[in-house]
Amino acid sequence: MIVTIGGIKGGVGKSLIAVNLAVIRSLDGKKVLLVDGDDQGTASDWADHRMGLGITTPWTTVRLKGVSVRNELIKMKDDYDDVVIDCGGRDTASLRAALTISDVFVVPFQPKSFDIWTVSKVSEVVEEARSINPSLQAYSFINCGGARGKDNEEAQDILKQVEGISPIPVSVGLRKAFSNATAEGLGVVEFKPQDKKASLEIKTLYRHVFDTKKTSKR
Amino acid sequence: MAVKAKIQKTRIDEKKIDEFISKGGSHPENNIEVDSDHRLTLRIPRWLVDKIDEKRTEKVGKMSRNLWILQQIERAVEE
Repeated sequence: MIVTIGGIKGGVGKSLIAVNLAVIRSLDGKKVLLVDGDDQGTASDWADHRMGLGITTPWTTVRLKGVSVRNELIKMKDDYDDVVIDCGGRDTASLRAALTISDVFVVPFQPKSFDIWTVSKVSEVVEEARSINPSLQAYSFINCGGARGKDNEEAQDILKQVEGISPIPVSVGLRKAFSNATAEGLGVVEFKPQDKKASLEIKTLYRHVFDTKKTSKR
Repeated sequence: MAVKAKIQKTRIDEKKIDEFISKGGSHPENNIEVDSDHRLTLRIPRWLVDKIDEKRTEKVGKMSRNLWILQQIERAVEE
């Protein structure tokens, strides 16, 4: 299964989500390829950091850009159970190349107006991608959700109205545990002492992304 | 069943795919920027690796080997 984490707005925690999904998938015994398709190279920097700390890293990380995201993955994907692509926060050739071959597109949104307003543009890109890749499934969710549940709910309500992108009913909170884990080269589920809320939120997202493929509505 | 319908292969319209991808913004010429980093393999004696590890972990917020070595190189070339 190929999962792309992307969007057209930066700073919403896409790399954080991508690496955490890769960690959990890997802990589930799957052979995972983590593709860093973002100019900033956050996911691959983090993987380097992790390996530099001597932490076991069972997945493979590669950096790809532009059309090579499609071309190289066509060659590589069969060697892995799953591929997680971090595509950064812009409408780039890398993002579009990823969407031509992905099974699932996951778009995090912060519960802020400027973020949520980009959803219609994302929806257009998804619709266009489906003319090439009709089986592409797209999901949105609230990331970096604040303590104010009302903002998260309002953002969820807006996301529900968007055609072609199914909202995942989870809000991944802006929790210190994520940055603490990242600094240590770990996924939040690996970090001790474990932040139960953070682990629960990311695992809920994980289950939706990897398990709901057949039951979800487009 | 002895007779089966011929499987229709879906032809992928490569031109359409290229058009779709090229609408995406600003990656300079496909792959050129793939890695502005140049990867080097260094042969470092074990004792020096141990020394590096000792140095990079002696402060709070330990650093990866790659980052620590990079910082030292940057310092050296900027002097």
